[in-house]
Amino acid sequence: MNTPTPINLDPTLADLLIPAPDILFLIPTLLAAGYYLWRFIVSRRTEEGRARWPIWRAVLFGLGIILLLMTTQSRAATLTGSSMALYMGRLMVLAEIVPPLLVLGIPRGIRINPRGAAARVLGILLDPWVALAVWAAVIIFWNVPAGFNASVVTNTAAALLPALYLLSSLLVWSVILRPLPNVQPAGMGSRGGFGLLAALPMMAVASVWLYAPNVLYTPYVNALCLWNLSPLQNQQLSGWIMMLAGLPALALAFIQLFQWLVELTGGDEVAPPT
Amino acid sequence: MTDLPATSEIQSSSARRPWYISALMAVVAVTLLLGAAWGFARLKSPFPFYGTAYNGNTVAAGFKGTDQDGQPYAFVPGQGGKVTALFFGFTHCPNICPLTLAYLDKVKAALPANERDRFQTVLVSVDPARDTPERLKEYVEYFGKAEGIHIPEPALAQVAKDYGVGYQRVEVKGADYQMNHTTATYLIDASGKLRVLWDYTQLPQVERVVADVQQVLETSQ
Repeated sequence: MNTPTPINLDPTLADLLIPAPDILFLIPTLLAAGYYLWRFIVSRRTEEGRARWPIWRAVLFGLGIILLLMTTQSRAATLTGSSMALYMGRLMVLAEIVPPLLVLGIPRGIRINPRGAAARVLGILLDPWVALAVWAAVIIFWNVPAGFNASVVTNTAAALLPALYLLSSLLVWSVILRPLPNVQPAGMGSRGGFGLLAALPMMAVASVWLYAPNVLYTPYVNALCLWNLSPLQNQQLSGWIMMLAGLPALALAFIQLFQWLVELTGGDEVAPPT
Repeated sequence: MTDLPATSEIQSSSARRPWYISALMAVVAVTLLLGAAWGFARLKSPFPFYGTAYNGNTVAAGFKGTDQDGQPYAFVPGQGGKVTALFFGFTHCPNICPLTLAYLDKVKAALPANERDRFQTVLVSVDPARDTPERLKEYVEYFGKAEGIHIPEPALAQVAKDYGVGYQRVEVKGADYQMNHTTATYLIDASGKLRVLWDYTQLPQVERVVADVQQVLETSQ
């Protein structure tokens, strides 16, 4: 038996990080972290294993898991209706910080049976078209007013949306960082182009929030917001958060595109001995 | 993730995949995604509540105050087999509170006669300094039919805390002060459990609110 959580309108960072377990997220996260740890320990037994699975990858993965737990298992996750900026901050951590850390934590040289079901499923999920469509659907459908309102005030997506941001962004970052080359045939140019396209929906939504003169989402129109921010300030701050969160991915996309151009023009060829 | 070294088989089959097959897979993936979101919502709450459904195990808190007739009032959730729509507001509220009262009155009117008597609306004032029982009486009778409850501080703060409601006084230049407050309406069933929460922005869709109320009336005797 429980009662609703009381609202503290001026929470500190420590208040926001008070544990508030969400089993739906907690169990899969702990299972994934446990599996990763077990495989990492096993890999330390051989020289080859240590070489392909360096400690820094495990540290990045661990950091990703800690951030994932902080954003989904804390009091911050219960204050969605009181701060659009906090909500968006959480979603952006889940979409733009946690996924690259987790993907970079995957060891190189994972060998997947090319005839196996795993390879075929990954071949579909990591198809750039599929990853981009799923990501764009999550960003667009749940940010147009009807979808966003539903995610804040109804039970259709409030609990699901953080998971969708995380999983769809994991697909996107997997296409960009290409941790499984034998099921991801994409070259540098297409990955850069993909990264550029994947950044567009988020940048478009962020721009609308930054420049809209009115509060776009009815649940926040007269909402009592945290930290004495007005609903419009909250919306604009959310725009900044989304835009800033999308910049690293956009920068990486440009780097990949330039690298591809350099390869294309033979700029990376070794000069012949004279 | 163990066996064979990388071969070109999958690589070549993925690379050879025509663009329209990839596009078709993308459409299927998005359809599955939206379908899964719908399925998740049904799993969380088998009845497609319009409002946000509680987990079915959340007990509503009781409270005491003074009603609009100046009589002592004790709210015991579920008492008398009643289903209650509870919200927190104040009589100087220019828009949200009158609209909420009016829409809840429409909801009651839309219920079948045999269910209407089991549904009640309770307004708890978050402005006890100005909302005297007399003023509450005038207000609730003007905008519909509801119980208007006056609870003095600090008991009010405890009741608001029990329901996760926030409220604070806001000074207005050249005018009397206003109150900022949570705009949710809480539906409490006949067994005293919190079942559904509607934001005030949802109330204009009266038919959908009525469907939620009827479901709660029928599943809690």
